[in-house]
Amino acid sequence: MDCRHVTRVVHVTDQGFRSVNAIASKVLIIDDSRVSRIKARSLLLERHPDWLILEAGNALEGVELARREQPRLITLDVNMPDMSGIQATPLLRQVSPDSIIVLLTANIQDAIVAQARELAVGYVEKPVSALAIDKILAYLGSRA
Amino acid sequence: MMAIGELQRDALTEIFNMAIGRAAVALGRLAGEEVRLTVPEIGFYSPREAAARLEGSREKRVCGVFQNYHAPFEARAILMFPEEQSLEIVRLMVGESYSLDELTELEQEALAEIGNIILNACIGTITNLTRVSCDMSLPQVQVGIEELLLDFGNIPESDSVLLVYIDFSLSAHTLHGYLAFLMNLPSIKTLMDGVDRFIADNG
Repeated sequence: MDCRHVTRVVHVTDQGFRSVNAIASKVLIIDDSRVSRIKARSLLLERHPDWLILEAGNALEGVELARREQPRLITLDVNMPDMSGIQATPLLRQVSPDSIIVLLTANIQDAIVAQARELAVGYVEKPVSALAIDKILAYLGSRA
Repeated sequence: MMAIGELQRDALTEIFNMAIGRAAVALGRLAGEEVRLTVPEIGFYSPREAAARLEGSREKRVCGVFQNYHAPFEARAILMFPEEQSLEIVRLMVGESYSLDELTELEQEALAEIGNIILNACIGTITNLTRVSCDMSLPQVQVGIEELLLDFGNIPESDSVLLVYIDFSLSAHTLHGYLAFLMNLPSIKTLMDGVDRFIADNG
């Protein structure tokens, strides 16, 4: 084993974790699926046990929570009853302008991906998995 | 009964192959294991024949999730499992640390979310390949074939229904299920316009 190589890899990883850790301590998960919220919470806390994870079961509840709590990161489902994540995005921007928003959705249609781009929000496909959460955290790191 | 050309049938099969492949990737990520699929069975039937085909190949009760799609085409996508496997499916979603009572409490929501992920992976691929985008309902969980087919378009018996049917199984678990897609005649024509676009794009 080349110890110099291992040292370089650890150094980059450690820096990566420190920078994301410094960026976000409060995350809001907006998703009508309780199971997806449970999974996302668990995976986020595995990676950042000191973060505060908030949850909302629909867009309007999410907007109100965002207004009160000003989370640094918001994960946002698209297909929800009453108001979609796409419709909620401008409202979230209004009430919590410094939040970084990432759509976390099963809706893979090109039109949704294009709308995410137009709204300048992140886009990650479900299922909520370690891979999906790591993509969200990488997006957060890139936007900090 | 609806008639389509050989090239169109070939392209339709290819589109569904890719769509099911995408759904299998999503299911594989959810379950953390390989998903095995059958070749999609594609056919045009009367509504009664379609229901009979879905019912007839099952011995036991099924539970499932369906999602309706509209504009520009009316379709229903259904994900089905043998009813006795439903809690195992939920366990795939939430992990091993939940008790039986907790799993039962989460069952409806977990099945809806699994359906949401798998069905959207499938239909989203189809709409992307045929260059349409469609609106969709929220997923609904039901038990029984009749309930899963309920009110689908109130299709007259004289009309054709496109039925696409796939068996899938998870390699490390003794879990299997079925995917079915139903579409009425006007919607089939809209879909075939999209298939023609796919043929032109790939010709």
